[in-house]
Amino acid sequence: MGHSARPPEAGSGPDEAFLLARARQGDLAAFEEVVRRYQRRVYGVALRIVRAHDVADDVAQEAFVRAWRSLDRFELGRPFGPWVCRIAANLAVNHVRSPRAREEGLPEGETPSADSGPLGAVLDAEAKRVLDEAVAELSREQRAVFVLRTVEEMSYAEIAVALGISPGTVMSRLFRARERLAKSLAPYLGAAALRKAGSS
Amino acid sequence: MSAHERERLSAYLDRELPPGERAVVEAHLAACPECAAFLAELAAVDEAAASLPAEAPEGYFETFPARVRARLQVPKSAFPARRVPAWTWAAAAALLLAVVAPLTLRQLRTAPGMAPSAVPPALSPAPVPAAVEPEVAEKPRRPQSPPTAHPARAVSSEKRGPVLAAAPAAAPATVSPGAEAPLAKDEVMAEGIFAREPAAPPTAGGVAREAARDRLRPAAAPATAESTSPALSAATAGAALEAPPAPEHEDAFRRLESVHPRSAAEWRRLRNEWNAFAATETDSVRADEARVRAIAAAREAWRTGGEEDDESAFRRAVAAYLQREDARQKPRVERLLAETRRTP
Repeated sequence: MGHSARPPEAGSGPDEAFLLARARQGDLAAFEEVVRRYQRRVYGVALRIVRAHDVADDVAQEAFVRAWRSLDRFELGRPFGPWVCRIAANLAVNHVRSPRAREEGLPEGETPSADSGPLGAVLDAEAKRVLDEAVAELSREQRAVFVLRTVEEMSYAEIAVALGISPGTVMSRLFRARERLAKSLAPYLGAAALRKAGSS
Repeated sequence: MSAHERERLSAYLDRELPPGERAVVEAHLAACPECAAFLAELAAVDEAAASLPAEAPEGYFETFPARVRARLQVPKSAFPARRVPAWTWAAAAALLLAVVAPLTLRQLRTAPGMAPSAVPPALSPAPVPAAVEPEVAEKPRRPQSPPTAHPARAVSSEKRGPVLAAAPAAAPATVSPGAEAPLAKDEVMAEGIFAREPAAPPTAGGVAREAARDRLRPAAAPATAESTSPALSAATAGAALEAPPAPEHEDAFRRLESVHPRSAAEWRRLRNEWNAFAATETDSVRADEARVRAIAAAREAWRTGGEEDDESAFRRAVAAYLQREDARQKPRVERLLAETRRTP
């Protein structure tokens, strides 16, 4: 199963540990650099779950603010990315700023195509639109589990801890999400799935 | 193929099945084309979903770090002190009652001449405020540890995992009222108790708590609806010269953030308050954010009420902002303007 590649600068390394150590001592500039490195990833997690830019913006900001305030308890040397993404995912699931903000999707024209992925040739614009709508129709809880697994590549145990649910619930929500998406994408998945089956 | 079997395939895809179960599934897959095809579909869905873009509006990430920093750029004393949850007071009161009352009664029985107030010093109410004072006075920027053990909270934190457990009880109000962690409820409860305190008979603990609250009160009142008046703004600005301005400004900023107007008039009021805030804010990043929020509020006033005056005010505000040399978020404001073209 392929996953979106992690930006190289978002990885954990001595530089990151150094920055976080400085941040822990109150160095805001160091933390700002950490924010710069992870902002896209954190925002991406939030946006995929809440499906509205304004809310995702709030969630992403709040995730970093909470991470900053909890740095004393963060073990330096461990990757910061998964940690702050877990915070963001948890906030995103529990976060409802306003009914309108929740219902508003991303404005048209502001979701330019990015990584086409291995299915890019197969999934044309129509298929992506269908998939996007199907993802939007999932419950927020299902979306959170699905995003943390497929985008953040977290294990069931990690997702369970992040969202405060049992691994069994993670498994069933993930399955239901995939099943619904597969049903929606059925007309487009035939060739891709066959190719996948053949390559595995 | 049952739902349970399909669910196992999903877990198999994630390599989350125990070895024995995994071997069974693999054996089944080798003999069942239907399940093999379903597994391939699930994998394809993952791949396709992961490839869906999650892009922010243009220019968003250019200002994001600075906006996060603006929220963190508050002196130590500006963060609200970790309030003691309501149950602490109740528990302390119950403990005092349980310990002091029998001892007092026993002393009354054994030494009839002794006054009831002559409670042994170690049992006097003083320890209660003493336990509170360091937290109030210190106002840690980043709390070193979670609140002391409380059965309900411990369970709650455990249930929610390290994320919320890591989220400090003293975390300032979030951007969104709806996202308040359970801990925030405790804070509200504590506020409620503080609010009721004056009605209670004064005690040593009460006096100490009152003093602690006095220290918490900002020198100048946070901006309110009336703060749009020049006189009050001037007064606030004057106070800012005498004392560090950040605490009350941070409070005011968060208060304005939490306002969710429902009518055009309320949006106008919010717009004015953001403008008043920006006029007195010394931190350039936060002032800039306030200006943008004022513009957003102006737009909402127009969208909500449909008044031409509001539209003019919004467009004037946009134009004025875009002409500022110190404007940090021009793409964001341009986007606000562009959105109004799509949704008149």
